[in-house]
Amino acid sequence: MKKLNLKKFLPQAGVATVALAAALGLVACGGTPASTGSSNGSAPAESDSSYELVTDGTITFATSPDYPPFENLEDGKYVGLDMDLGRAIAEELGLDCEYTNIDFDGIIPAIVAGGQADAGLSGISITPEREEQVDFSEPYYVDNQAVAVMSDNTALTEDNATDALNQAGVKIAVQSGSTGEAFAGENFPNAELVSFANFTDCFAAVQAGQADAVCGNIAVVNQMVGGAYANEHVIYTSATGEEYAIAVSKDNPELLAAINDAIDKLKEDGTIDELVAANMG
Amino acid sequence: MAASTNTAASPQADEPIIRICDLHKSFGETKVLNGISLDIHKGEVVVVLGPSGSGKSTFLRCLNRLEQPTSGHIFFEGQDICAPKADVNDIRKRMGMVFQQFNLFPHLDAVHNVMLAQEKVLHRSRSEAKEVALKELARVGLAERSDYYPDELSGGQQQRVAIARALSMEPHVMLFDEATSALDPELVRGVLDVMRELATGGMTMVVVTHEMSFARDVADRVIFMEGGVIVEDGTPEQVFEHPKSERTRAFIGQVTG
Amino acid sequence: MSTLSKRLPAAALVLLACLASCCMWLALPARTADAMQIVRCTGRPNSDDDATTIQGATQSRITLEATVDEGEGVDQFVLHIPDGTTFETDDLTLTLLTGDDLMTRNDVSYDLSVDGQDIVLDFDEPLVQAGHLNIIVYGVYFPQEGGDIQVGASYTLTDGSKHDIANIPTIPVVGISGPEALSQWLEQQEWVQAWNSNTFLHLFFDPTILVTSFPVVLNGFFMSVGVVAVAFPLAIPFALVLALMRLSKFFLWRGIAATYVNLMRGTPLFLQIYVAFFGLPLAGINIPNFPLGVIVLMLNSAAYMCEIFRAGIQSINKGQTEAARSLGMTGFQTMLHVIFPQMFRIVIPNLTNEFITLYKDSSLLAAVGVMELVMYARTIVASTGSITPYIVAALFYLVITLPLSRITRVLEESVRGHRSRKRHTHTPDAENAGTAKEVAA
Repeated sequence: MKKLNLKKFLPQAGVATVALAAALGLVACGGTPASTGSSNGSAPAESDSSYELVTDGTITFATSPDYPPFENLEDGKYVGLDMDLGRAIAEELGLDCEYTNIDFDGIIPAIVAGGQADAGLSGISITPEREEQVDFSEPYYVDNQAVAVMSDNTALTEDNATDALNQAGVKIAVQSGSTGEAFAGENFPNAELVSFANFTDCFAAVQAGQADAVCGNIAVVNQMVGGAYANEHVIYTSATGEEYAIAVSKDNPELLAAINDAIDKLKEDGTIDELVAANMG
Repeated sequence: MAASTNTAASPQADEPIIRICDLHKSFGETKVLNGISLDIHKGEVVVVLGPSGSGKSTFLRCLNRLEQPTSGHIFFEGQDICAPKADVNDIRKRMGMVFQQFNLFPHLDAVHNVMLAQEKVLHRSRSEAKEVALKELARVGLAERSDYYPDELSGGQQQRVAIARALSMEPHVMLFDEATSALDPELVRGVLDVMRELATGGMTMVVVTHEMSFARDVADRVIFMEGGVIVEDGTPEQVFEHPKSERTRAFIGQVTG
Repeated sequence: MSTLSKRLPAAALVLLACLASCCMWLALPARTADAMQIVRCTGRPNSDDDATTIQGATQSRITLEATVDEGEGVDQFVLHIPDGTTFETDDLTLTLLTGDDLMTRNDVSYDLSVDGQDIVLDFDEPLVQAGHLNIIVYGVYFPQEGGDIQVGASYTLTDGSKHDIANIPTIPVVGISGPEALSQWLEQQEWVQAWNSNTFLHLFFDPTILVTSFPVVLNGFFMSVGVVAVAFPLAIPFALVLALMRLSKFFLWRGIAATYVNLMRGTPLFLQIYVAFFGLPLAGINIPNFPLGVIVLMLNSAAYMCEIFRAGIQSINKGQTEAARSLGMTGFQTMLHVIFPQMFRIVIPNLTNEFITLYKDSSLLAAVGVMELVMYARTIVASTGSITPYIVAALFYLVITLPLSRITRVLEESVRGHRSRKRHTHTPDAENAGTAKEVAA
């Protein structure tokens, strides 16, 4: 089977490559004039910056607004820690701030490809794999993890969580590709991980009994447990080392430097702490 | 088997095999049959003539309840087939029908067209059904074509397979609904020859047709319909030579030229 | 009374023990607390296969956490990484987690030096606050052949006494898989580097990710094909029943079937999937994921197939039914032996399309945790940030859909195939011969 597929796949890949080569040319051609125009346009406003932007005078962040309290849509407005941070960074840089809604797993590809957004700001944690695709800014938030279960669950409790969660037969719902998935995989390797495309579904799965527990970022878990899923409670928390940072194209080190400067300033003047307090409170 | 005892159980020749009493049929507001009464006796060949729209096809289709009569009664071998509880499937297997458009099953070859109902309705074994099918195909002159699919056969051949299919059920009556009307002229004769042979063999037949020569030569009785009623009913000689109504005379004059 | 007398010696013993420990505390002020206890020692899973596998020769990370008791006074901490495992210390993080829930981070200032496989951490101020000392070592590469990796740790107290931390769990590392090894080999190749220097090719056709995601996505392929291979055949009889109900003379059947079809076709499949996966269990109906996925796709597909079958049945000449009924066949027999065989020939192309649609729709099950084709690909895309796994998934779609359209063509031709079998004998002569014969008869 494998052999057959491989045979099938090799010529296919070749054809696809050739077919898309034209598209590639278009992308390359499309990118150059836009960036030239951008640097020309922004030159008078900021003489010291040489970075390229998708839209002149505006920094566009790609985000997946399904992850409160980091990013969420409320009445059509982007709210949450990341969203506030993005606006603060834009202000530091003297730019307008725009958000574009892209599924979480599409954000890094979108940054690599360019043209859609200048940076990814969506609770993205730094990992070696991702670092191969994009550059990361200074971390602006260190992630903690939490595990929640149904409040009436007597098998999984605060007292036995560390061992009870790491048992065969325990199903832990996680968001695909999230730090929660990585954390659960590292600390509860015996449990079965059930991946869902978005985090809300993980909670719904616990409600429905499709999973025993849900593992994810502590602030997000607290938000969910304090709101729509009040009949679930947190039984386990852990301060982990995952660092959230802004993803920037490797072709745009100037923008990365500018964002890093802005983050440093915002850290120093306490803005980031304020934003964390305001959004996680 | 049951069918043959039935036939034997009606020894009186004057007991009609089909008795039609005051048959009415309307499609919505349109009245197609307006009170038809008729007796058909065993072994009779009845040819129904009439201009198009006269209701002759509807009349024929009422006989095996492909059309549901609006009112009136049809007795077939003593049984009221219009009764709500009548078993139409049982009636139909004793009454073969041949259609203008042949209606062979296109997914089956000739022999399987003839075999299907034998197996499913008469519950004959596969081999018995095949034996009967080949016999009937030979009877209509198509023994060589038994494994041909309908679309490999000419219209005339298809119609003969359709006749064989009906005959394989050993019906007591055969109904022909313009069996040759859809055929090219040069293919008509083969079908008529088969029908002629059936008539000679003593089959009770009700034939709706435009073939005047067939009516003249083969029919025991000719019925002329118009406006949903029987206008003329008699021997071919009576109807063709001495029609009672002017309309019949005109029609016959028109089609025979 | 008797119980009191029995308890007296016990109470005396406890008192004695307290006194003794007080003396020890006075004698050894540094040993106020228990020794540091290990909390965890884990490696970061780094395989595309699943979220728990740690494999060798691929970048990973070691997290070690140990308790520090109040007043412990830890002066130096040494982490021993076994031979064969490489690591970097540039990004090493060290945090003291304190508070009731151990969620408060305290920065600790220290000097770091590396002595062979030992990471030596000298604290500027001895650790005296109760909490968990959390150390993360990045850039770790476990040995390629895998094995249970035993990390060692020891600490020195302010009094100069050195202690080992006991019972550190081993990190289970598996040998690198074939595709991973191939991927790493590819990564070293010049042509791959040149290839990947093109952003587009790198994003969509990265050879290193292609080879690792292929076997992973293959798992999902079997799942997707499995779901559809069961759901599709089951949908056919159900759709036939629905189609017959829609064509029924009885208004109730018609109404039920029409409502069902309109409901299933008029609402998004993902909603139906959500209702089944999250709604049914709340109603007390618990069905495992795979059969549930099959059932939802089957119910949805049946609604579409119903309309295909209905159109197919209606396209068959009424004369076919009349011919069959006039031979005494029942309505059911007519459907089964005359209408359905013809209808299936007519609907083959539409049915193929429906199969392909169903196969592609099976990806919607990803949303509810059924690990099918797209979900496996999505997981790798989310963790690597490359779109290449989706390209691999697309290939797996084509593996099914391309041959299928071909099979359909062959099938359609074979339906008409009997014609060519003896067309050569069908000539006007044959027709005349037949006529001549019956004339003779």
